[in-house]
Amino acid sequence: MEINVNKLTKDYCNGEVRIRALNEVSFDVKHGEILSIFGPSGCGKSTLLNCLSGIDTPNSGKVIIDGVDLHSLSDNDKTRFRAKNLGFIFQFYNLIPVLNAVENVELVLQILRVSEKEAREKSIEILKIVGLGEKINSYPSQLSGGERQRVSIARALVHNPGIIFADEPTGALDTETSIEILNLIKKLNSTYNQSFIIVTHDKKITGYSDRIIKMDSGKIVSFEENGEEK
Amino acid sequence: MIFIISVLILIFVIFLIIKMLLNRLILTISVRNMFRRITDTVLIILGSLFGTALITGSFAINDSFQKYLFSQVTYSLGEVDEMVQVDEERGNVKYFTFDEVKDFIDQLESEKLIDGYLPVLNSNISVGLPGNARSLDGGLSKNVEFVGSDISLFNKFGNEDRDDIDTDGVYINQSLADSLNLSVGDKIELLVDPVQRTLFWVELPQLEITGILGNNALPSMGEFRGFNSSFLLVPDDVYRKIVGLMIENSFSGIVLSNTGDELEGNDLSEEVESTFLDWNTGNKFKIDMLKYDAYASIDASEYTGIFFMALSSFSIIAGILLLINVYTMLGEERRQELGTLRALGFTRNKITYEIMFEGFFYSLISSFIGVFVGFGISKVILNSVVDLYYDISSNIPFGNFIFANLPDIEFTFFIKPQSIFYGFIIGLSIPLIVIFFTGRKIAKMNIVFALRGISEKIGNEKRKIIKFFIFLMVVFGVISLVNGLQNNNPAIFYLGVILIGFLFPLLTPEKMMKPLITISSILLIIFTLFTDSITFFSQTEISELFIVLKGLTILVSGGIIVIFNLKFIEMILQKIFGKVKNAGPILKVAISFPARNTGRTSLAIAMYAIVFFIITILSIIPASQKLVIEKNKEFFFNGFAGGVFFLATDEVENLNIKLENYKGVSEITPLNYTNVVTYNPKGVKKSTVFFTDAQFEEGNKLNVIYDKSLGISSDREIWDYLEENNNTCIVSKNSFPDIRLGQNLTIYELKDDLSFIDIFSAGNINYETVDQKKIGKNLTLKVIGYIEEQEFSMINGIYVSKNSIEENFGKDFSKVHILFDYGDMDVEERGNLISYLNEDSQNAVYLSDDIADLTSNFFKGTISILNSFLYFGLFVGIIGISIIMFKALYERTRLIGMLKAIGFTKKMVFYSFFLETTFIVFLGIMIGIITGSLTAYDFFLSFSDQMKEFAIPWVEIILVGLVSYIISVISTSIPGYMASKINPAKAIKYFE
Ligand SMILES: Nc1ncnc2c1ncn2[C@@H]1O[C@H](COP(=O)(O)OP(=O)(O)O)[C@@H](O)[C@H]1O
Ligand SMILES: [Mg+2]
Repeated sequence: MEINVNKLTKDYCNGEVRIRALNEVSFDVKHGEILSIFGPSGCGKSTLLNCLSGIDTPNSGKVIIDGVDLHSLSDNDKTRFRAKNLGFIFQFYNLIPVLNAVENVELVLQILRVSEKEAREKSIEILKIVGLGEKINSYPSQLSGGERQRVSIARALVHNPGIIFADEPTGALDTETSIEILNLIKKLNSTYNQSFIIVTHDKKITGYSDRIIKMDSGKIVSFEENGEEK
Repeated sequence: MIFIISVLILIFVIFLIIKMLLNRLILTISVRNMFRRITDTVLIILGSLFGTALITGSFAINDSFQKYLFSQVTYSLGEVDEMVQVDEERGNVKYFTFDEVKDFIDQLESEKLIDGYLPVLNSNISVGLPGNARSLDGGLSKNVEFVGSDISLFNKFGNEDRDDIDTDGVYINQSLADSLNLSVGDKIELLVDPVQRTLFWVELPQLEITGILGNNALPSMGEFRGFNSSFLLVPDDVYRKIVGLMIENSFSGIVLSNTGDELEGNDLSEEVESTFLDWNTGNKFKIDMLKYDAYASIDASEYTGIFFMALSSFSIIAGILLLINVYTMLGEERRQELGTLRALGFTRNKITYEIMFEGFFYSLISSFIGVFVGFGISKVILNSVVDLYYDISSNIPFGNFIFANLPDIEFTFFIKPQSIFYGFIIGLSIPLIVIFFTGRKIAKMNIVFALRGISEKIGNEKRKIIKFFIFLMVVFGVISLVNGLQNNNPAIFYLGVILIGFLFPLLTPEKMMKPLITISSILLIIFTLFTDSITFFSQTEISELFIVLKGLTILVSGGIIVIFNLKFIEMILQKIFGKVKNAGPILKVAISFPARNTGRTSLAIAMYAIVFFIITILSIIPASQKLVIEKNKEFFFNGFAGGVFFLATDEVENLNIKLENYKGVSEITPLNYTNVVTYNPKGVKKSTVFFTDAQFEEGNKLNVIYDKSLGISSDREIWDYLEENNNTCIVSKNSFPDIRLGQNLTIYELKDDLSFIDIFSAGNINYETVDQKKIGKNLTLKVIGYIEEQEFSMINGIYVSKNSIEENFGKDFSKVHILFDYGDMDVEERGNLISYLNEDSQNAVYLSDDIADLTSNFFKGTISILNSFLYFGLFVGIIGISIIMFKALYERTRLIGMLKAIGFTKKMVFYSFFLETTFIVFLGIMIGIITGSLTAYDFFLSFSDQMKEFAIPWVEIILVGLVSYIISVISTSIPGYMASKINPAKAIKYFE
């Protein structure tokens, strides 16, 4: 899937003070690429990601995903669009504590009304792929941080979305686990050819991506490809 | 209304169940969330359970009282629902033949409105043993209801099916048999026509008694018959022969029994009436809806249930606050989880189900168990009410007013099946409504905010709408203020004042709002307390609504003052305790949390405040009442300390001697009286005439306001004047509130006994009908003085000189009270005096000290029972604080870990929880006690001088406060202890 971002602007009102978190940001995301959004903390990366994925609404500008103007959709249509086409990986995993690994993954298929049997099969399959075949019945509290993030990745991928959004996916992990997770993402990307948009403030992570967007103070500073400045 | 709610709830429940089946995974999440933290779940269920229990309990108490009162009607009327008679007021002859009404009866039967009818002949007559029927002595002849009927029809009337009554027999009831000492086979004499009383040469008819029936075997046929009144039942042809009725098959009335048992039948009365009205085109007949009217009058005068409802409504409000708090916290806790689901693609509707399903299970379980707990609570409370009332009603003269002590009717626990259903439905619906709104609020959440865990502020748009709404309310306040002023309506004016006072500050900018609303709340309390000394407010009768409004204003103001200034209170506490070792950091943690979590803290404080508000008021009432009774006991018996009542003239001498011989008894003063009626535009009023003699004139202690134009200089001389001038009188304003000096008052001789209640009632009761035959000569008196209204006086009537009465009425009917003083006697000595006076015969002896004690105990007992109902309401508060502290534990796990890491000891953590509980509970209890006291004070200020006494039972109130504080602390020490045990290393990286 492709994304076309056009002059995206987002303001936050904090009492009387207005903060411009995004300032006329425009760029494209190509099909099947891993795109890193990189910049210091507070520069507006998460805000950008949230506006791209439709969970936040920009003040102006457009996000067009495969020809669909995302923010012109109603809330319910936007939600359905997300369920069908987008996947999410969060910094703190955001797994449902009372559901075990396989149930957490199934959740997304349930929204799409996949039959129970098929959902279970697909979920187990993807958990095996992310390396958690042994722990499908474990609850989040029984898993380590890296394992939880793998569940989270499985959940993001199970319904075969066109784009996966990841906000600081390794932010809560140690270096070693971070590398494992990034390798997994890389592997999945090459197998399934989905677009990944990864937000990070960690320079090392950008090495795993095809393209890097550098941000500062709500603006894009530069585009880099394969580590080279354009 | 409640039916519509039930249907809506049912639809909602079905809807939820369908949704559950369609959203299995969400259902799984909900169910697992319930089991995730068992303590929370148990507490939530307990909290809503008590809500349901209190509601069901109120219903049960209401039902039991209603059934008890209804059973009095049933006791008297049995199966009888209506009676059709000739309308004599339109000049028709009393009797009719059955053929005249046959059409009507047939129509009722074909429409299945009645399951029985009974043509009867009935009248009131006197009976006695042969030779005694003419006597006017109540011991020798009795007034009875004389009924003639086809006894075979009577045996099958209504649901009855008996064969023990002989169709040719003559029957009397037990009460008549007892009072005239009759047994089966005895002959009785009948005085059917009072004219024959003096025609002593006419021979009166006699009958032989075939059997004696139970007191209520014959339903009352006409006026609602009192208990223990007498009847005489004979076959209808016997009746005709005795009365001299020539027409065959003639009757004076038809008694109808509606289809179904006595309670169901009542529902058909209106249809029977309309059928009657359609049929009765010639207006010859009239219908009396005996049972329907009797029930209606009970319904109207029935306070107890409503009173309990009002009380429990405060507990219910506390319960609702708890539920709002609980489910808001639940939503808050699940926010991040729900935000994730939203991001993953769950629609708004779907995520509300998670909260709704969970809440639905909680409310289902709690309302189910709550209904049974409510049974238990109300049963215990009712039993103690019954014990108390039975103990006391038999011992004080006016105990009968409050709780008639009736034969054969027991007060039992009773709840209608539909009340169980309603209790369940209300118990279910309150949480469901709260859940519904919480769910909707969550659905509207901003996903980004939820994911990041930051709280949402009300949007500008919404804020503007709210402000506009508040503005409208303020405008409405101004309108009512002006309107109330123009129309002299204090309640409306006051409503305007409070609307402006509370709402105007909310329109000001944020910085000004807090101090403004605090100041205006203080001003509102002061203003409320002063309303009683402003003439504008005391010019009209005070309505209950106004009193409730004032109470609520004081309560809400007190709450606002505290809740809007939590940070200020925090600062003061810091100033005071900050210097104590270690106290600084503990206080900081303990108080800054509740002070910043304003919503949650306010709700918890409000829960305690509401319950204590009512408990305080209810404790002040009996304490103050006691003072009032002590202060007024001298007014019970015209200034005398005691009395022997209802004596026949021949008993007086003996008792006089007995009293004179008793050490300590003084001022023995006899008071002769007879019964009379007066007429006023509303009807006939029964009253008592006291005739005064030299002894009474000397001994009485009455304060008389007299006619100054008579040339009298003291209120002793007025009695001399009364003695010397026939046809003058002095009147109690209690009996004749509108009487004026110089006015004429015509009294008519009443040849009938007054009941206990008639005599002791303060008057003001207008009786619509009195049998004309019982009314004799009349006498017109000039009012030369009156006795001011005194709510506590039990001897009220018209004082006339003995001469006046003797000259006009003769002295046949006079009876006597003897009044006396007895100095200082303790309970035992008073008991000895009473048994001394009762040695020979059972006299009605009452001593004011005994009545004062009993009355105070009665009030105190009643109120403490009511209070015990409220103590159950306290559970709601205690459960609430426990839930809050448990939630605090989970929310702050990380923070507590951090605190421990930077040097908080276990003790310090525990103390911070302990202090937080104290902070909330203490403030709540204080607001409740202070505002409750102020409200009660305001309430008592509005009373007349006689009643204006105010006492706060501090010890009792503080004790209750302390106990509930201790229970609260104990119940929150568990989360406190758990918090102190938190392992810092684990807690800091605590993520789920
Ligand atoms: N809810 C909010 N209210 C006000 N300001 C916000 C809010 N969320 C983010 N911001 C501000 O927007 C800017 C960008 O934030 P964010 O997108 O979270 O940055 P990043 O993810 O790059 O660290 C920051 O300055 C932050 O303070
Ligand atoms: Mg960020």
